[in-house]
Amino acid sequence: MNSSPETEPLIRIEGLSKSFGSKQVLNGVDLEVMRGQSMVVIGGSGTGKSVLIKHVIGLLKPDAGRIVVAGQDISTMDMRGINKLRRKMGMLFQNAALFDSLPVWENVGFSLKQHTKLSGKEIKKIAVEKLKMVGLSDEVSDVMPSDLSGGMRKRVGLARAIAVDPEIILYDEPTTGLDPIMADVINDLIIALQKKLNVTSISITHDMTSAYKIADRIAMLYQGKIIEVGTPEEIRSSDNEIVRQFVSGSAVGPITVEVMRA
Amino acid sequence: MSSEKTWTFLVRPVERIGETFVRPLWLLGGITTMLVKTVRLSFRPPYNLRGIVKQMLEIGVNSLPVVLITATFTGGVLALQSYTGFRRFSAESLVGTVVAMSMTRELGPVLTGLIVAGRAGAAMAAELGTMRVTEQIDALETLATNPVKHLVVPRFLGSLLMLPALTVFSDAVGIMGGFFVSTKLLGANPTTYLTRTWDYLKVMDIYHGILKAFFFGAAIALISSYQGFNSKGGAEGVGKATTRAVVLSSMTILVSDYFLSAWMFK
Ligand SMILES: Nc1ncnc2c1ncn2[C@@H]1O[C@H](COP(=O)(O)OP(=O)(O)OP(=O)(O)O)[C@@H](O)[C@H]1O
Ligand SMILES: [Mg+2]
Repeated sequence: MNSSPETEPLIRIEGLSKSFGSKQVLNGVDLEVMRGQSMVVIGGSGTGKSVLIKHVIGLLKPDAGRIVVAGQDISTMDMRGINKLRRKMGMLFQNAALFDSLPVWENVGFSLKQHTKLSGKEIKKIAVEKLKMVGLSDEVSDVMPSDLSGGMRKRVGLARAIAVDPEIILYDEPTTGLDPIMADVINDLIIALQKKLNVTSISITHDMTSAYKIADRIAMLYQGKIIEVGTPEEIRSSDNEIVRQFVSGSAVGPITVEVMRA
Repeated sequence: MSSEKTWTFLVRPVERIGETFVRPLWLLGGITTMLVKTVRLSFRPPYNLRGIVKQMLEIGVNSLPVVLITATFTGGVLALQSYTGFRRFSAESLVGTVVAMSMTRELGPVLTGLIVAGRAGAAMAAELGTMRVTEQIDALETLATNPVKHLVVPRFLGSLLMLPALTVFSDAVGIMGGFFVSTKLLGANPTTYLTRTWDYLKVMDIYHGILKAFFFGAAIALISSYQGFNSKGGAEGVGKATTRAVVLSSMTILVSDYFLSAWMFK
């Protein structure tokens, strides 16, 4: 990507608004992620976290605002430009979104098959390697996705997202549905990718343990806006009532009042 | 507040009527856009030959048995009915000609089209619809792969090429069905029957039927892919998209058949 000066964020979201029909989901989101940084977005269910990261990879077009990735505005780019950028990005979908018609290894190696001249054998070797990184043995490589457990699907999705060694990775709830030990393996993987390969990432999570562990910075999305951004320490000791209720997982507080009223 | 209510009361019916007229236009626009994209991407390398062959096989395997059975009996019933009619003015010898012409010009391509719409078209809409609602199409995009090129182009070309092939089978089997009924059940002379069929059937009849089949093949794939791509709302949405794909493909086949015939046989 562009060797832009390091003071310039690699991902910059400005005034992003999006509604579906009459439902306003995002309402002026601002967020900056520096190169090599791990940003975690937290927020209640249905607040638009998934919608937010889908904008970053150009799956959704903003109603208003800009998404600048590596110095280019993704919302005004043509397909060719977006696809060029996407080859340096990886995304883990919340529900994995594996291709049911392909066995696990072809899922993981999909991008390599599409965009490189590597042979099937070489692709499979890389796929098995990536599967190992997410804690899956090579026995699963020939299994069809429909025969996997939820947690395994998620990890295959993760392997697919990291298959082309992307510079930017978007993780939509990477540890949801995993047992605590496997969740920590994934946390460590995310950290390792960031430290070793200088990956820039945005992760969405509800899992505060994971958030504190992997984040350089945490941002909280609430009612269509980012209401607070800070280091894990800052978030942990935030005096914003909403943030405090969310991170402590309390049923009593301003968020609950909103939910009850809605 | 109450003036707003009156306003809604007045506007709602107008909106509904407007929608009724606008929706088909929207659909037509959507399918045309998909046609343009698909054709353009069909010519852009890399060509996915394996994908096209896979689709052709799928369509063929899905539909061939049904096409053959349907065509046999259609040829048979054509012979039966036209024999009954023609006997009234002693023109029984023309049965073979009528069967052959009806099969090649009309029933071969149209029945094949309807069967493929019901089987392969439905399968396409359901498969692509499922991929849409489970975000697999989004996943393709994030992997820098054009979903229309990857999913629609092979289906389009596969269907475009397979439909004429199935139609040729259907024509042949239909004519055989008519031959069987005429000679075995109605006592026609096999040699005369075949000579009559052969003498009066023009290459153009077969050729025009095949041309129709190309068109139907393209229409089925486009309509079904479009419906699949635009399905939303989980399993129920996929079900609706599949139904719409079959209904719309079948209607398109029957309506366009008239215009294609009027245009080609004038
Ligand atoms: N394609 C779409 N069409 C219509 N509405 C949508 C679409 N995508 C998302 N929404 C709506 O946007 C809102 C936010 O959805 P989103 O999936 O981003 O939530 P989320 O924050 O990721 O929630 P969760 O934590 O449960 O995954 C929801 O109300 C959802 O119904
Ligand atoms: Mg989500």
